Formats: sequence, structure tokens, C-alpha cells
Amino acid sequence: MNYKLVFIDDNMREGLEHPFVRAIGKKRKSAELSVFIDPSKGLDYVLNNLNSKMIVFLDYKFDGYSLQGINVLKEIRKRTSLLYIVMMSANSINQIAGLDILEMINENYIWFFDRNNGTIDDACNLIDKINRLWNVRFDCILENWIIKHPNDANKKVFSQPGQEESYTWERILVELREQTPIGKMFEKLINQFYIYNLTTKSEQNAEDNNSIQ
Amino acid sequence: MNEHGALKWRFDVSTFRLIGRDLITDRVTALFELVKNCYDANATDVTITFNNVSSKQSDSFISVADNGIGMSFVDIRDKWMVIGTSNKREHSYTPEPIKRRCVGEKGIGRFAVDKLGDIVNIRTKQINEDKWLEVVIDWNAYFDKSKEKGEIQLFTDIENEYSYTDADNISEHGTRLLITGVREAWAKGDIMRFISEISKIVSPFADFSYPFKIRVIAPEFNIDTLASRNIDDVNIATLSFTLDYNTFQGYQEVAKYNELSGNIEIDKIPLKSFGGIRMRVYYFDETARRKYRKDFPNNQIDGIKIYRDGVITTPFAENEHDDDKKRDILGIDKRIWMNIFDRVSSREIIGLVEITKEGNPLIIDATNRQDFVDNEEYKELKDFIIKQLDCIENYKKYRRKAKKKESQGTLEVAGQNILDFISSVESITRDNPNLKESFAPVIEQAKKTGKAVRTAIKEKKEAEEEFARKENIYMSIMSLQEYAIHITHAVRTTLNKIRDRVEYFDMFFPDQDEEELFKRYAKEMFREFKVLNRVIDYMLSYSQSNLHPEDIELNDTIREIYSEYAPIFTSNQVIVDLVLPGKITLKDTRKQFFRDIFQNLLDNSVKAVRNTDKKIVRCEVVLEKEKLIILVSDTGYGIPVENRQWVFGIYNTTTQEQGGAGIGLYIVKTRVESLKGHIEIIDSEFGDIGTTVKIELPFKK
Repeated sequence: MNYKLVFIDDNMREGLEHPFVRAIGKKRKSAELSVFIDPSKGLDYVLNNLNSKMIVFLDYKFDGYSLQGINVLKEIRKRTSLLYIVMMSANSINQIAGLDILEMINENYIWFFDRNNGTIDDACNLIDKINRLWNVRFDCILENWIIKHPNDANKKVFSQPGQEESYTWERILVELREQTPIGKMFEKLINQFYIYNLTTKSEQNAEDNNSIQ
Repeated sequence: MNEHGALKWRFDVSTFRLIGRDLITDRVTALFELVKNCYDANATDVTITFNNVSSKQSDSFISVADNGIGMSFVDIRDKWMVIGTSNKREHSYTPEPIKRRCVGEKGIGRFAVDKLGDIVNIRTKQINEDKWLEVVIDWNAYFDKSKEKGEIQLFTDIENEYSYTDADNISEHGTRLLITGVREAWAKGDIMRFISEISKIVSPFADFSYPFKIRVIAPEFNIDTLASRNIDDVNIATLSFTLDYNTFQGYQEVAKYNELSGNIEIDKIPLKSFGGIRMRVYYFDETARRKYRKDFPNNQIDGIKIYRDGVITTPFAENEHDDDKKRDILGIDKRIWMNIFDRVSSREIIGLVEITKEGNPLIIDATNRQDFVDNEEYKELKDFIIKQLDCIENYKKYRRKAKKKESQGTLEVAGQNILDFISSVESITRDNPNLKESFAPVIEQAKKTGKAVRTAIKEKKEAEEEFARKENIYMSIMSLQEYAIHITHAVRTTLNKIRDRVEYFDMFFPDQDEEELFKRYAKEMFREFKVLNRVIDYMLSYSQSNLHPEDIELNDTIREIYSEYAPIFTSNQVIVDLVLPGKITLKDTRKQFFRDIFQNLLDNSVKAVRNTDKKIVRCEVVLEKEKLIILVSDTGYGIPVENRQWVFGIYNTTTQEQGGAGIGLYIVKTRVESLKGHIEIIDSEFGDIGTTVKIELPFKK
């Protein structure tokens, strides 16, 4: 298993046997599939699995449920801004309420999938696109590193000044995915470190070049 | 910090277009958004100046200046120039001591300036700062950029100049937006319309410790006025009432229509769950509406607004010129199709509902600030507001009947007068035969007039009958129109289910390992076709005016319908209990009506039991003397006693959140009534749980 594909849609009562889900499962074999027709159950599952690589296919409109797609999106975003969400709608994007569009366009990791016109291949292409993006994301790179170097997983690599608690790579991965203050701070620190490192390196190179001249 | 520099926006072209061009559709909305920002900046005075805007001239500008808290460099960089991260979303109230409820929408106000002009100069300062910060934004640059072909996606290449100038007085604070290169010319009417819209932010009855005064100046039109809603404009209303409350004595006033006097009276009831409210309603009949349009051409009669502590909450400080696009949050207009002639629409009333933060704490602002949290108290408040409109509806009915009677009477009296006249003249000529010749033309004329009046009376009656017929057709078309929306949703969902399976076949068929699955998908597609057919039949049946009468066996019909529901019952684990007597033949009846009745009742029952442990749907048919009684019951969540009648009205639903459209029971009721029967909801056969619907139909053995 490489990543999770979660479908939250009240019209997918057949679960994993739903043809749309099943077809995607057959075409993208490395994905672990789950289907929820009740948006609150789907939301619970997503929130309990934030430390996994996951794409959520989320229906926009749930007939008969007070929780709607936009609410699920908001609840997920309260916990993490890293998760990829594919909003599915039987209506075109123009028919979605203006304010909901506003909520969505401000999101970084969100796509739309038109259930009337989009094909299974379109959905698979979207999954591939997200997979490519994963390859450059810090948490995903870290996950790959841990998979390839299992011995590093439990190495204590980070601690905060003045605090005894220290963090392993495995723990940092969880903190990153759940977007905890520690996770966010660590990501920022790492980025700053590399920028600093590259800058000083380039200055050093420049100095070296100058000294050579 | 640099004294001069450049600031960059942080969003992409498509976002810019979406917000700037799609959401802010007209200039009045644009300016309205900017004033809302002033309100949120704790300003107490705002001055909007239009300079030479009637034609595009080099010195034309629009300025919006306030004495609010102003913006810092960081505010501009991190809030003003970043969309969707509006500070207002995190803080729904403005800073102390004013603590206003924010009215601006998610930072789109700043895009409003784009709608108004090419270049905006922002001059802003916070208290105790010794310098004014000025930022210049030239929108042309963005558009030039966005027109360029290629890979340019972000605006980050474009810089906006900023600079600082010394302040004469450090205690000054506020923001001024100076918009030049004004895009479109403003006529006097446009400015007046803006004044009318902006005046609605604050209740005309509010008493503020921190006022919000908006002054509008347009020298070329001799406009220099404070934009505040004038309560004089409701003086020409046909009918009005004010409801108050008293917390200490624990009562809420309600409006009551007195059928005998034709007047609205005020009654008292115990305080409702949402707390006491003050409500003023002004109703305008056709004549008053004409006068209103003539007297206040820039104002609109625009329904009920809710103000909390004097400031508008919903409809949320929006300017929507197109009435059809206005949000019908209180659900006033969706009721209109139930009875287009008597229902009150938001275009006939001006209403103000005043609530307070302290007195109505359970009416909670929704996070999107477009409405309130949909809790029981808010539902009760909406219900309360709608019920107050019922008495205006009764008044309308009363007036319509009285008018009809009046005009009918006048014509009949005129006809009788002519007959009396002819009879008097004939009597005179009998007594004085010499006058007969002289009076002959008069009698002839009177007879002709009399005939014309009788024809007029006859035509009027025919016209009324025709009107009644058209009224019926019109109303059924309107219901159908709304109904079609639901039908298309149902059709589309079904089509998608079929499409998914067809696509699966296309991709993976044949595959021996999945033979069973393919068979199942084929069966499911077949079933979906049946559903689709049912939906279409149902739609057609509703539009048919002449349903063919036939003899039906009631038990067979009921069994037939229940068997069609078998897959739904099975998938929802519903137990069905059918108690039917011997053969019942109904003569010359309409089978489709029975189908409509049972299908809707069963749909409701299935929905009602979906989340309950005990899932039983029961139908019992009882034969009484000249009466056929059908009881349809379920063990679902039930209908509160107070709603037992209400649920039969079109669009009246207790399950709106679950997608209920409030159409099903309306159809059931109209169908039962077409069969000369009666329908009601009685105490549940299952005791404390569930619902029992009782239908009584006339029946002769």
C-alpha cells in the first residue's frame, strides 16, 4: 500500500463495489480504498488517519445530511492544510454557491471533479497529478526516506531548546501531517536551514571564486 | 523599514478574475463593500465623494474616507493584499471599545476598487503613528499582465509603490481610498441608489453610542447628504403593525387578523425560545406600491431584514439589484407558489426585526455570516416571522373578496336601475300616450344600454370563470416548474449511476473473474431505468389535466406499489406490514392519484425510519359505512403535533436539512382532495414513536 483513496459520497451505497471506486481501484493498484456514504463517518476516518498519505474524493452535496461537503472540507482544514481533497459535484463549478467557491479557491490542495462529464480516466489522471506533487513535498520525501532507511525511523533528530522531549523522524512525520505547532515549526526551520545553507554556500563559492581570481 | 518600496499581491490571475469580475458585478455593490470595510475599521464617520463622475474626465475621482483605526504596513501586506485570509473571519467583532459585528465579506472589498477605477491611492494611518502610509495600485498593470500569453500565472511580478509622508497630527487616524481613472460614468440615479442601499446597514430605529454616519457628496448633482434610512418612506404603506415584547412580564406580541373587522390586532403570547423580538412590518398593496415607486424611485420594497443591536445581520448587508438573485433566507418568497394571489412576497413588504446580543443569545451568527446557525431557536424565529405574515395574507384575501363583491354589486345595481328606468318611462307613456313618440328613442336607448349591461355582467362572470380556470393552470405550472428542479436532480443522479456502470463495462468487460459483478451491474442498470421511468411517469402524471377514469382494485393497486418499493425496503431493512380487507373495487377513479399518494407517503416513511432502530412501515385499509379509511404508519422520527397541518402545505417541510422539498405531502393532499377525500395526521399507531397518516375517502359498496 502506497497511499489511501477515500471516497465520501452519499450515492456510493455499494461501497467498494461501486463501479467508479472499483474501476479506480483496478487502475491504481497501489491505492488503499475506503468509501463512506455518511459524511460525518468519512470525516472521522480522515481525521483519524491524518498521518497517512491520503486523497479524499468528497461529494459537494449530501441529500439528507446536515453536514455538507463544504463543512467536511472546513473540518479537515481545521486540522491540516496538507491533505489533498478532490471535490466532486454533479453540478458544474458555476452552479456552486459563490461563497463556497471562495472557501475553496483559498485552499491550496484542492481540485474539482465534475461527476457528469469527468471519466474514470480523468479521475486517475488527477490522482497521478497529486502523486507527482507528493514527490516534492517535504512530508512525503520524509516518508519515502523512512521506508528506504527503516533504521532512521526511530533516531532522535530534533528537540526544542530548553525542553527535554526529543522527536524521532517517525514522530516528526506524524506532527507534520497533522499540522501540529511542532510540525509546522519543524517544516519552517528545515526550510530556513536549507535557504541559509544554500545562501552561505553560494556566498562561500563566490568568495572562493573571488579568491581564485 | 524602508521609507519607499514595493508591495506585491499574493494570488494568481484566475483567482483575481473570479473575485474581481464575477463576485462584484456592479459598481454599487463595489462601493457598498468599501463602506462595509469602513464600518469594520470602527469608523464613526465616512465621507464618500464623487467628483465629476457623470462623464469620464481627467479629474474625475471617487474617494472613500473614514476615521477608522487605519492600517499598518503589515496590515496592508498581510491582510489587504492577501485574499481569503481576511482578519475579519478570525475575529467577528471589531476592536474595543466599539466592538461592532464585522460586516465586510472575506476581504473581497479590496477588489471592489478594481470595479470602480484603474488606479487607487490608499492613504492610511493608525493612531500615534507619525507618518501616513500611501500605496498606489494600478489595476491596468494586472490586466495587461493577464492578457499576456504564456506561463505567467502569478501577479508577484507586479509591484505596487508605497511611500511614507509625515503626519501633522499624530492623533489622527483613518483610511482614504482615492480612486481615479473612474471606469464608468455615474448618473444621479446611480448615486441615489447607492445611498438607498448603504442606508440599510444601520436600523433607522437604532440608538448607538458609536454612530456610523455616512456622508455622500456629489457637487455636480448638488448632493450632500447623510445616508440614513428614512422611516417616512413607510408612511404610505397600506397596512402596518409593530410587535414588541416584555422580558419582565414574559410576553411577546403577535399579530392576529380579525375576520369580522378586517383589521390586524395585537395579541400576547409567552416569550418564545429565541427570546423577545421587536418587529415592524409595512405592507404595500398595488396602489401603495405604485406610489412608493413614484415617490422613492431609488428605493425598493425589499422584504424583511434582521438587525442585531441596530446593525443588519441578514440578508447580510448585501446589495443585489436583481430581485430574483436575492437570498430568501427567511423563506418568504418560496411560499408564494402555494397561492400566488394571496401569499405575501418580499416585494410587498418592508419589515424590520430587531434582536439583541444579550436578549437573543441563542440566535447565533453562522460562521459564513450570511445567516444564523440553524438551531431550533432560529427555526422557531423564522417560523414566528412567517406566521406574522399570515395575517397580512388574510387581509389580502379579505380585500380581494370585498372588491369582487363590490364590483359585481355595482353592475347588478346599474342593470336594475336601467330596468326601473324603462319601467317608469313606459308607465308615463301609458298614462300619456302623446308622449310615447317622444320617449320612444329614450326607451330604445335604455333597452340597448340595459342589454349591454346584462351582456357585461355575463361577460364578467365568464371572465371570472376563465380567470379561475387559468389561476388553477397557472398555479399547477408554477408548482411543476419548481418540481422540475427536483426531478432533474433525480434524473441526473440516476443517469450518473447508469453511466458509471456503462463506463465500467466499457473498460473491463469481458473478465471471467468478474462475471457475477457484471451481471449485478446489469441488473442495477435495469433497476435504475425503472426508477428513471417512475420519475418521468410521475412528472407526466402531474402535468396531465385529463386523467382517464377507470375501475381499480384497491388492494391490487396497493400491493403493486408496495412491490415496486420492495428493493428500497430491503436495502433499508424496513419491515412491511400490510393489513388489507377483502376485494375493494373503486369505480371511475384515477389510479395514478393512488400511486402518487402511496409513493409520496412511502418515500417519507422510508426516510423517516432510516436512522431509527425499529423500522416498520404499516398500511391498513378499513371499510366503514360509506367510508374507506387508509392508515399509513411508520416507526420513524414523527411529526410534532403543532406541525400536523402545516406539513401539507407546499414547501413546508421539517426535513429541509435532509433534502426535503416540502412537495410530497402537498401532492398527497391535493390528490386526496381530488378524490373528494380528507387527509390528516393522527396520533401514531406505534405510540410514542412514528407517524400515522389517515386518509378518508367516500365509498359506496
